[in-house]
Amino acid sequence: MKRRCNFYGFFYPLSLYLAVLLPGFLISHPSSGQTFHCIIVADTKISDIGPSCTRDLAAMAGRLDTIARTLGYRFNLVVRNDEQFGPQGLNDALDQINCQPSDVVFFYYSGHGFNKPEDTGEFPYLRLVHPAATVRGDSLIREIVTLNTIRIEDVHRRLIEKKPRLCVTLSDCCNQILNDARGVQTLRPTFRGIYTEKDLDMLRRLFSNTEGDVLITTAKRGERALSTSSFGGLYTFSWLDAVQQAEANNNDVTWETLLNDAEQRLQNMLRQNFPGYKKHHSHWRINLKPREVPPPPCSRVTFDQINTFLNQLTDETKSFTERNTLRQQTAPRYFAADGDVKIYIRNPERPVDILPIESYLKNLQLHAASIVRVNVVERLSELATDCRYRILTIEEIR
Amino acid sequence: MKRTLITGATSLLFICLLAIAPGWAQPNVKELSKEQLDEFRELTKRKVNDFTEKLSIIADRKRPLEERIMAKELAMDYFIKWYSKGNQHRTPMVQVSNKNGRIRSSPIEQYLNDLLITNRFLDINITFYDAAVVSEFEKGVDGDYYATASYFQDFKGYGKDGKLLYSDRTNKKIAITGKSMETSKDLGKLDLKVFFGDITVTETTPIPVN
Repeated sequence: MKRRCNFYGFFYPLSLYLAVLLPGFLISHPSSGQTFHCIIVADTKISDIGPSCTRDLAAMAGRLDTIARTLGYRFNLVVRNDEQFGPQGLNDALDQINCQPSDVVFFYYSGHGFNKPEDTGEFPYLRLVHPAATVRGDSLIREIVTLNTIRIEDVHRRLIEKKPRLCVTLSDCCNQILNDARGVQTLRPTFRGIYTEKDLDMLRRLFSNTEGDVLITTAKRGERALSTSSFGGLYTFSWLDAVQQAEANNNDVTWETLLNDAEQRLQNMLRQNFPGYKKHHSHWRINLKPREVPPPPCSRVTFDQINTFLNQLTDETKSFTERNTLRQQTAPRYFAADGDVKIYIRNPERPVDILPIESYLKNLQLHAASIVRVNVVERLSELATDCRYRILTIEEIR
Repeated sequence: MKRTLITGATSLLFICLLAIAPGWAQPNVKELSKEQLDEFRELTKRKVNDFTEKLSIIADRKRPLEERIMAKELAMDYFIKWYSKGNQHRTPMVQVSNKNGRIRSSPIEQYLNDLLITNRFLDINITFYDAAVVSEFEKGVDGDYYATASYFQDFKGYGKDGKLLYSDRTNKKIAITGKSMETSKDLGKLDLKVFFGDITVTETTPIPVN
C-alpha cells in the first residue's frame, strides 16, 4: 500500500475533468478587488504516486478556479510540481503570496507524508524530497526524517501570518509513523455526479462570509492515506465530491458539515472499493470567527447527518438486524411520520416516484447490495414545522 | 355596413372557437416527451430488478424472518390494488409453472405468501440472470401508459440434506401500467405512477435433477 499508498490504473476519468473544468470557462468574470490565492504543491514526478498526484492537481485547480470565478475573485494560481516540487519550490511559493485583508488563501498538497514517533502532533509532515531509489529500509527512514521536511501546520501558520480573511490548508498524504509497505491496485471510479444549477449561496457561505482558518489533513496520526491513478487521492476525490454535491444540493452548509460529509464519503468509498485495506480518517481543525446568524426555530438535522444515516442503511458490513435497529431508532428523529421521499432519475426538479419515507428506508435496507450511494438534495427537500423532514428529495446512485 | 361588421365578428369568433376546440374536446391531455417516458422506463427497470431481488429474499430461509416479511410487504407495494377486466375488478395474478408443465395462477399476495411459507421444499433458491428488459411505454385510449417488462429466473427447490428436488428456468412478463395524471388526481406532482399488473409465464425450461 502506498502513500497515500500508490496504485496504477489505465482509466482516466475524462468526464470528471470536463465536469470540473468546463463550468469555469462558461462563467463570466465579475470584477472584484479580492483575490483567491491557490497554492498547489504536487509530487507529480515520483514513480509510485505521480499519476495520482497529477490527477489531483488538475481536479483541484479546476474546481478552485471555478469557485473563485463564480464568486467574482481574481484567481491567483501558484503550482509547484514536476521539477519545481521540493522544499525550495514550496518556500518560494509561500514567499510569493501577498495578501490583502479580504483575500482567501487555499493551500493544497498532494504527495507523500508521514509523522514522527517522538512528535505528538496530529498533523503530518510533508515529504518533499526524493531519496535515491537505492536507499531502502532504515536508511530510507533516516534520510526522510533528517532531510528537508516541513509540517503542514507550519505551512498553515506561515499563511495565516499573511493575514488573509480566510486560510484553508488541505494535505492529502499519509500520516503514519514513517513509511513502509506498498501495494498496487487498478481501479476505475464508480461514482458519477449530477448536474444542476449552481447554488452561489453555498460558495459564499464557505469562502466569502467567513473569517479565520481551516486546517485539514487526509489521515489521522498513525494512518496511511490511499490513492489510485484513476481516483487520485481518495480524500481529494471525496472532498471534491462533497463540494460538488453541496454546491448543487445543499442549503445550510458550513465548513463543519462539509468536512463531515467529505469524511463520510471517504469512508463509504473505502468500504465499497477497498474493503481489504486499513481505513484512514480525515482530521481537521476549524478556527472561524462566529457569524451572527438568527437562531433556528428548532434544532434541525443537517444534510451530512442525513447522508450518513442513509448510507449506513446500505452498509452491508452491518447485519440486517443492526441496520433495522438503526432505522427504527433514528428515522423518527429525522423524518416526519407521514413524510415522503421524491426520487428522480435525471432531473431533480422532475421526480419520477414518490414513496412514504418508511417504505423508502426499508427499501434501502433490502437493496443495500445494488446501491452505491445516496445523496440528499437538500434544496429540494422540505422541513415540517418541527424541523423534521416532510419531503426528502433523493439521488440514488446504483 | 353594420351587417358586414356583425358577419365579420361572427366569422372571427367562429375561427377562434375552431382554434380552441381541440382543447375543449380533450381538456387534460398532456403528452409526455420521449425523454420523460425514457425516465419512467428506467424507473420501471429499477423497480423490476428490485422486485426480483425481493423474491429472492422472501424465499431465502437463511435470512431473518423479519427481513423476509419486510421484502414481502414492500413487494406488494409495486402492484396496482385492482384493475378492471370485463365487468370485474380483480387483483393482479401471477402465473406459476410446475414440474408437470402445467401453469396455474394465484393472486399476488398468495404467491408471495407461498414463497414465504411453502413446505414443499426445505429450502428455495431463486436467482435472476440478466437485468430486466422493459419495452417502450405506449399511450392507451384511456390516457394511461402501458409497457411490458421481462425477467428470467432460475428456481431451485431443495429437500433433506440439501438435495436438489426441482429446478427450472422461467421467462416471465409483467404488465406495467403508468397511471397518468389525466386518470388519477392524487398523483401529486408525478406525471406517471408506475404499477405492476399480472405476471405471466412466457416459457419454462425444466432443468433435469440428477
